[in-house]
Amino acid sequence: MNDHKFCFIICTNNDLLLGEALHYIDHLEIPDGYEVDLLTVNDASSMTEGYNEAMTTSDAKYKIYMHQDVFILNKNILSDLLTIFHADPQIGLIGVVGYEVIPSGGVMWWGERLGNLYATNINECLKKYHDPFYYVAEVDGLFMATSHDLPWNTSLLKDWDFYDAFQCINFLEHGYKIAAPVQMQKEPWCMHDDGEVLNLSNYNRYRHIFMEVYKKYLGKHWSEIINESHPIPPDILP
Amino acid sequence: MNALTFESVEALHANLEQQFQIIDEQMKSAEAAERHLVDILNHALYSQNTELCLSLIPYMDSEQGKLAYQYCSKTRRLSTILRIIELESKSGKTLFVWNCRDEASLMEKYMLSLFALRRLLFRLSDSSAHDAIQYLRQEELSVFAVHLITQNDLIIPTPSLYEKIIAIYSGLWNDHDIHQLLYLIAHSITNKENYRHE
Repeated sequence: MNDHKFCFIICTNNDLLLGEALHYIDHLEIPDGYEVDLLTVNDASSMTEGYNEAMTTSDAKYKIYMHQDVFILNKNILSDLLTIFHADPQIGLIGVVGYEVIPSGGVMWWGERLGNLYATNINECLKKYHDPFYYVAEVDGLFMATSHDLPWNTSLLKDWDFYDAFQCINFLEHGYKIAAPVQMQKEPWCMHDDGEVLNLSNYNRYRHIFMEVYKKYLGKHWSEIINESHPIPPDILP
Repeated sequence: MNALTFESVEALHANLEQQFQIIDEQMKSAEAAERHLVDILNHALYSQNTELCLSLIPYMDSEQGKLAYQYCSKTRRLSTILRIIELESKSGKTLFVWNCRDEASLMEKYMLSLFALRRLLFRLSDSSAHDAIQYLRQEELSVFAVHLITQNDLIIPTPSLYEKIIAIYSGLWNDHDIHQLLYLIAHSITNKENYRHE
């Protein structure tokens, strides 16, 4: 594993959006001594299949899984991600929008949100949360940066929903913390030009699967989930 | 804080199920409405029939049109385009759709225009801004297109952005056009402030 390498991983089916996303990535400042790679997956059968395929082909320690309609506004995002990862070696995953508690109904974005996103009111949390970043239970899949590889769940997740929620629980169960920058994101790091409402018939089906598989975690704070599993991941034990 | 009781959790889940059912039904109607919109638009653009394009504006105000607007970003953008060409048509300006033969090319033009405006706003680099300026000059957007795209889409325009746009179009827009843009911007700001105060 190359611990001085980032790899952007994007599942794509729209050249126009992808081209614009890459334009913003091309303008990022690369920290000294680091390199950046890019893997795009065309016509993946599911997000988890696409992400696994790319993950296993890259030797980058830091992998950034993002949507093709995300445009990175923070040119120093790579340095900022390293700042958070290095602040606590137990952090395995960072997102730009996070949730401290797993909502009882399984719907991530109906919970109280931390972080920031361009032209939204998520930044209301800046008034209440004063630290550079906070630990959370889940982050939105629009942007997920990891420092460790864990397989995405292809056996249960065959479409484009809940891959983020499942992977977040996966990280917590393996003892990795998840972080979302708050005061470090006074200016939002990303714009998400989504707009389309998800195919909610699929979404609701996977919501039920999520609630069944992880019913013991519904309503729980991230600290309760991580402590129930491994307190510290084996690869960072002293 | 009271703990969630079994009854309250059950009620929450029942409520969520009901909401998803409603959304699912509405989504089906929204998608059908968007397909109708795109079909008519394709026909109108192919035959360069402006009146047929504009006939979709009342459709956007119908129940089906409103559902499509609520759930589909493409419909929201097509709605913005329809308003643009309505204003351009009334003012005798070259229409936004003039070089588009179908909905796909129209959406591509809209998205590239939006991307160019954002690149001008964020100024990632001199070359990025230069490419944006070149594109905007080439497409010769009207004041109505600039105003409605920057007011309705995912972009937070600044006074400096509008100054740059006015400079780009100094050879194309006359004084009346520029005053019209400034009036439209001021009107939008006033409306937003009134909305906040309500």
